[in-house]
Amino acid sequence: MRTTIGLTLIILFVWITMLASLVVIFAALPFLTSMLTEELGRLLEQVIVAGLATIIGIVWLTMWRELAFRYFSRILTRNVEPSPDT
Amino acid sequence: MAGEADLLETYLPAALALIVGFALTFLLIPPVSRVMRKYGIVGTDVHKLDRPLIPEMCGLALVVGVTASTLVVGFFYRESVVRLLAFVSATLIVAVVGALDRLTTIGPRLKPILTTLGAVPILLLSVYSPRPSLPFIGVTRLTIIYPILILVAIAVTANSANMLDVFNGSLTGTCSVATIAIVICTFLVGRGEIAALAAALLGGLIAFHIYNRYPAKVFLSDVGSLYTGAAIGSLAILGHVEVAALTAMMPQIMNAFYGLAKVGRLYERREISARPIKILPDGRLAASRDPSAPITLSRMILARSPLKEYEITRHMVSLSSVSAILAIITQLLIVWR
Repeated sequence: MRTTIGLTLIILFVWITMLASLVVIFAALPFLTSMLTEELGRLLEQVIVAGLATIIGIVWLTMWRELAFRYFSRILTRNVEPSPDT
Repeated sequence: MAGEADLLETYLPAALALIVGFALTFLLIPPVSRVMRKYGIVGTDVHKLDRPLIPEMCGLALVVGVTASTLVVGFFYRESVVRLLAFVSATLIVAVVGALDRLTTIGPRLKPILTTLGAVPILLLSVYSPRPSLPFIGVTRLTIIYPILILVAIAVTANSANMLDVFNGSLTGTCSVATIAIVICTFLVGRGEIAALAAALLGGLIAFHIYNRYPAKVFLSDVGSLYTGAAIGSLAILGHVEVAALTAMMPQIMNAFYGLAKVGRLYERREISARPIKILPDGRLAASRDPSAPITLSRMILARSPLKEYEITRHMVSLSSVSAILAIITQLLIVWR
C-alpha cells in the first residue's frame, strides 16, 4: 500500500507539472514574447517560444528523474534486507 | 424512445467490437500457442524458480483478433473507413517490426526507428488534426510540429508498452486499464468510431490477460506488446485525445524513462548484465542493490520489500488505474472548458 502511495504521488507530481508546463508553454510564453518581439517580428517570437519550451521540457524531465531516483534510493537504503541471488 | 435509439447507436458498435475482439482473441490463443510450441518458438519464464518454457509470439492472436474486429467497426462507421484503414495499417506495420525482432533480433537502436514507420499510414492518409486540445488552453495550432510528434508518439507508446511486458499479466493488465480510459475519453469527445476501435483492443487485451496472467500460459512477445502500444498511440491521435492518452500511459512511460535515464541509452533487457530484479529462494522477487542495474518501475515497487510476481503486477495495475482516472479528469478539463 505504501509503495503504491509513494509512486502515485510521483504520478500526481508528473501530471500536475505537465499540465502547468503546457499552460506556460502555450498560453503564457506567446503572450510574454509577443510583447518583447513586437518590433522584431513573429519568426523571432516562435524561435523564443520553442527555445523556452525546450528548456521547460528539460527542466521538467530532470525534476521528474531526480524526484523518482531520490525516492528509490531512500526506500532502498531504508529497507536493507539480506536477499541472496539465486 | 428516440433517446434510447441514440444510446444504442452510440454504444452498440463499441459493445459489439469489444465482444468480437474478446471472442476472436480468446479462441485464437490455444491454436497459436500450439503452433509456436511445435516450432520451438518458446521463451523461459525467468521469474519462476522452475523456469518453465512458455510459447512466445502468441500476441499474433491479439493482432488478428483486434484487426478482424475493426471490420465490425467499419460496418457501423462506413464514412470512417479511411481512419480505420490508417489504424489497421499503422498497427500491423508495428506488429511486423515486433515479429521481425523476435525472429531476427533487430537491436535496441533500430527497433524504435522502425516503429516510427507505424506513423506513416496516419501521415499519408492525413487522418490527423494538427490542432490538439489542451486543458485550460483549448485548441492549439501545431501545423508544422504535429506530424513530427506523430512519429515520436507511435515510437514512444509502442516501445514503452514493450518495456513493461516483464511480468505475467503486467502489459495486458496495465494496458487494459489505459484502454478503458481511452474508450471513455473518445466517447467524451464524440468519436464513436475510435471508441469502438479502442473497445475492440480492450476486448482482445482482456482475452489475452486470461492466458497471460500469473502463472502465464502464453507470452505476447514483441509482436503483441509493440502492437498494443502502437494501437494506443494511434487511437490517441485518431481520437484527438493526445494529452489524456499520454496521462493514461504514464506507468509505461515512467518505466521506460527511468531505464533510459539510468542506463543513458536505448537498451535491450538481454544486453544488461546487472539485472534490476533477482529471485529469492522462496520464489519471491527482490530489487537488486547493484548500483549499475537499471531503475525500472518493478525495481521501484520492490525497493520496499520482496514480493510475489502477481503482487508486483497488482501494484502496476493500481498505478495504471490512478493514471486512467487522471486521464479522464484531463479529458473532462478539456471538454468542460
